[in-house]
Amino acid sequence: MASRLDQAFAALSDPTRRAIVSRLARRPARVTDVAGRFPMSLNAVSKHLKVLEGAGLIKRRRAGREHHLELRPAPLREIARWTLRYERFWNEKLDALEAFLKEED
Amino acid sequence: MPKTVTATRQLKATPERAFRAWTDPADVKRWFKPTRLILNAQVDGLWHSEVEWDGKRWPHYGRFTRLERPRLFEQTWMSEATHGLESVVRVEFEAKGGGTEVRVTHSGLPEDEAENHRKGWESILSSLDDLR
Repeated sequence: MASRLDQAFAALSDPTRRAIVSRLARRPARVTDVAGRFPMSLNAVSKHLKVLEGAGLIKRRRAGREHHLELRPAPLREIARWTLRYERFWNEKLDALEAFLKEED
Repeated sequence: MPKTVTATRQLKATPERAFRAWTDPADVKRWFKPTRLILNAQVDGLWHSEVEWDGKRWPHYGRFTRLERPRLFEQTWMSEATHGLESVVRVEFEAKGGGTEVRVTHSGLPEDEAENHRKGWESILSSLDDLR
């Protein structure tokens, strides 16, 4: 079974889907607003949205007849964490070093 | 393309003291908190450390390649995360603001299987800045 990280990477391997995520990173939007930005049919955009939903990257909320989309940051954080593993490792270790030397001060 | 990560911190200590904190095993145990440590801080001296991190045990192995007390040292660094390749960790100490600025440069890290997705992260990570 594909892990959530695998699904997130797969979902983000497409430029249209990355553009959708970037758009929603700024603020939630209606499906029609998002779709209006891309030179493709609503149906094609819907397929991309389904992939992003399946990967847990976005969530759809219904407000009356309108569908609102918002970003779910957890898988993105997981990607960032994974990508920057050594950066995080060294920053945590330097925090510990800083505290250690401060104690002696 | 191998990649490099860097991290810096301003420390309340002299470069000499900060250098010792990295190279004296008794000191290293107190802040790096390895569960196992073997450390022979001289050129061609070998080291081994095991740390619990991210819910996992990480054994590391390497060799000191440069020691220029108290300005910098450099060591090779191998672990599961480097896929057995020799990455290089350089640690530099610079007297600054009444203390020491320490800079860690970890180079030669493998791009990993995610190389294919690299272009994806760049735009994603830049939009993530807002979220963190």
